[in-house]
Amino acid sequence: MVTPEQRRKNRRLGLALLIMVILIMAWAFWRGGELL
Amino acid sequence: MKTLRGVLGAGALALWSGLACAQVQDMPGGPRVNQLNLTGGVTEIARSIQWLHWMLLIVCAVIFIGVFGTVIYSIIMHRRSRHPVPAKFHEHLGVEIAWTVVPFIIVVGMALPATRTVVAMKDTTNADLTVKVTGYQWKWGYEYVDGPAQGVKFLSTLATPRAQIEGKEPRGPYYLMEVDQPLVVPVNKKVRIVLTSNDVIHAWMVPDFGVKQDAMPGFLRDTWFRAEQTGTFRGQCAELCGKDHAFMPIVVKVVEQAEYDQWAATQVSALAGAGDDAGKVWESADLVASGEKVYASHCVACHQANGQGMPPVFPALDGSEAYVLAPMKEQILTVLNGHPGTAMAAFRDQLNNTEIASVITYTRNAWSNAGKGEDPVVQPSDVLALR
Amino acid sequence: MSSVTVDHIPAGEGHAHDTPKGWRRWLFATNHKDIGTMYLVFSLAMLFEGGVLALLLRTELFSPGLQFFQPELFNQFTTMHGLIMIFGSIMPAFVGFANWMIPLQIGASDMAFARMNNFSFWLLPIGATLFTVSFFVPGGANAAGWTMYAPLTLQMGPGMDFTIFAVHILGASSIMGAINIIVTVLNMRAPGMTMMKMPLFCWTWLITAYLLLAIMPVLAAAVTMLLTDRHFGTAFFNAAAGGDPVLYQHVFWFFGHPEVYVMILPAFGIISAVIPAFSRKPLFGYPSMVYATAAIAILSFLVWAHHMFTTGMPITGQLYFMYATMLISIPTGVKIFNWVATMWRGALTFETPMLWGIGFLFVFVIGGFTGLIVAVAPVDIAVHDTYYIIAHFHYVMVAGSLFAMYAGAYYWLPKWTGTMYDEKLGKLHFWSSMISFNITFFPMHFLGLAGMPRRYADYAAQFTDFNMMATIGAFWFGFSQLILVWVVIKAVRGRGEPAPARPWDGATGLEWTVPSPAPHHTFETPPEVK
Repeated sequence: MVTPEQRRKNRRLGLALLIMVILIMAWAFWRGGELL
Repeated sequence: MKTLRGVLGAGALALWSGLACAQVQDMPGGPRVNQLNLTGGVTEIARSIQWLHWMLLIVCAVIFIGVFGTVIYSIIMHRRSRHPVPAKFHEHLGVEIAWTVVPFIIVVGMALPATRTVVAMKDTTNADLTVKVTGYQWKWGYEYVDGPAQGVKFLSTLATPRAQIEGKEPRGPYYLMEVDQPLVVPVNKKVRIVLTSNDVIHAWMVPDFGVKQDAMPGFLRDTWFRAEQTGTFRGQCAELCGKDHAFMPIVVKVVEQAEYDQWAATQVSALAGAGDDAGKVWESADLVASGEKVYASHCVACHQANGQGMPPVFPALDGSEAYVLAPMKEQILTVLNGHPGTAMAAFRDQLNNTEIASVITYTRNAWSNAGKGEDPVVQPSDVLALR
Repeated sequence: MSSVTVDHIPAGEGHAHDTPKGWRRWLFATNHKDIGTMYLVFSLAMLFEGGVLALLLRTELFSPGLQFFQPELFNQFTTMHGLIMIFGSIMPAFVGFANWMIPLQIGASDMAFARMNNFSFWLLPIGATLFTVSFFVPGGANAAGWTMYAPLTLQMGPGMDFTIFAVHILGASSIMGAINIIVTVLNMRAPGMTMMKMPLFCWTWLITAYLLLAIMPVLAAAVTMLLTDRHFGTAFFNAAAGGDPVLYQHVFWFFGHPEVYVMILPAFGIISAVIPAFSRKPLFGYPSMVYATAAIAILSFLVWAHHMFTTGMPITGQLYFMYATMLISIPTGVKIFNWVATMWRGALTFETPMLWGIGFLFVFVIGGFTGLIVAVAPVDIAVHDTYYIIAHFHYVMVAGSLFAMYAGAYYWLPKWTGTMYDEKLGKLHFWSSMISFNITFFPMHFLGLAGMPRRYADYAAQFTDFNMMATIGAFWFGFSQLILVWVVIKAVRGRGEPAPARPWDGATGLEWTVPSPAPHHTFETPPEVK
């Protein structure tokens, strides 16, 4: 079974990864032009 | 219905091809029948590429035989019926280091000659002749930037008749790789090709030269070749550019310097003679006659020979209330400047005033348009006024 | 290798609901096994839709001339074949394997985010519908190639916008799936299951998930820029207005190269399970396999412009990308050698999963070698955008990814269904596919070397014989996949020997400690791993 403690840990890591994704998307738009 | 016709057509073609098949020969300057490997071509670069490929292939083949020899040995000798007790080992530092380091050395060995060739391919300096090549949907344009043919420019369009492509006629020996006007260059001279595009990305490829370079709209790229033999060499567009991507080949005729000089002189004087006299006033019948030829080279691919187009992507010109049957201004502007966001290209740099005037006049008098609408005749001066 | 002791397997206690029946079970599924099954069924259906498109285009290419389809329609077939196979079949199939097997292999009761898992799956049919429906809008489907280069894409009709939305939706699904997998693998392993004791399949998926997180947002950016260039007046890729078409290629391939590793790393994980099982020997060099996978993943970010050798890069660029690309062959070679060393002096048997595993080795290595050959820039300049490239990537993606998935499917089918699949049919599927695959794609190497460009609806007559061979092979290969459907249906229906918990005597791993078929809920209490 998934304990509340486990759920908390999962949610924290999931959020961190989601923020990573959003940062990468922003980077791709704004810095994309400098890839040349 | 189209599929049924297609099937019947394919059947008939198969029969015909059964006879014609025996006759497919190697294409001079083009692919050989069932060609297996790169061509050594007529340039040092093409030969370097061929050599590199052989070297890589042989090294890979040797490693492949080694690895799969081991696998096959294992399959035979270590099958359970023959080798019922499996070993237990699952690591060995020495062996693991060896099969990391040795491949690394091999890869470095491959990279050294490759580097030499990359450097050579990129060196476009000190060219004897420079030609500007422009990719269009769907043909190539050539313009001589220097040398005896300076200023000569022309379009190079697929010459294979549509009937051959549709299987209504037997295929010619240069099927899909022949043009109305090839690029002409002198032998043993370094030719620098400066590439751009009028619309989307195309790519100029000639296997016998070992050349391929993308043609980018709005940018100039360059490459070079030095052909060591005379002859006619053929290539094709190598970047998806729309519906007729397979129908815009490249043909380069390499000739002796003397012949090149002579050809250049003829071209330059023809250019002066065939001036685009915007002041000339033409008879309607003459405009329609020459316009029909322009239409067949430049418009028929999309708008079709019957003017019906393929709506909604390629509008019909026959009965076009908004453009062809309307006052001339909109149609002239559209032909000059294209229609951004669609496949309708700008023809202002491809056709001169006389050609545009004649093709527009043709559309206004062809099919069911004759006698209808305003401005049935358009003169070169009308086009010039709107440039 | 880990040795595993199991406390006890709970028999359906400790959860607050009964398994729902009927359509609700599937629409509202949060169970990793059910969701895994849906992913696999969906990808199999997409395999056939993408396959039909391939057969249509190969029909046109049977002989020179335009017999059946105009080039505009032909280009739609080639484009959508690629998009549907990549985004609709291969990627979801691996997520299906991940869903089914990761919790079982690490002793977790389910994935970390079970509800998000449901959403990740149900986004897929929406994306697939957008792809399919795009054929029927004015102008037809996207015909600019799966790579969707600007500015050609700016000329496409509304079908292109459907594709862009589908890519957004499928990308979102992949990102959510990746987050789920990372959190599950990092947080929910059973006590005692350290990272270095995990089955390699979990490692390869963990690394793949990080790749997905990094690249799917970049793809989203690329296609969004296409969308705004098309409709909202931006000029990212329009040179006349100050933009640059090559920018698109850089952004796209920054996604595109790691993407191909996304499609092969889980396959490596599956092979790393199958070969040891049927060699009855532990995987050779487990730590190096982990490091090699990580090395491949990191390197995959550094080589994207080897897809752009003809765009006119400065010489330093050409050389750097050539060297970096050639370097990836080293860790990949290490993995091949490790698999061979696993087989060496084992006790081999050749049931269907092992056939696929060895078959994978053979054809994937061919694909890998052609990859090394085209890494060498001068050679690539000769064969870029020709059939040589088509041959290369089909060898690594079909013979690589797809064959590895078949190995995994046959390997784990007894666990999924509780029935031993039909071994004779499995072997027939293997041999039929293996032979027809090579007939289809091997001649394409020759066509490319001879200069036949790709995405061509018609070709010079000298290329005819190899094209005919490829078409015949393609039809044979396509129909061979129906054998798999039959095998799966038979096993699902229970027409075969009942499968024990561990049908393969050489197999190791927690998944073999639960009954076959795996109960709806497993490892409600985590097992002890020693």
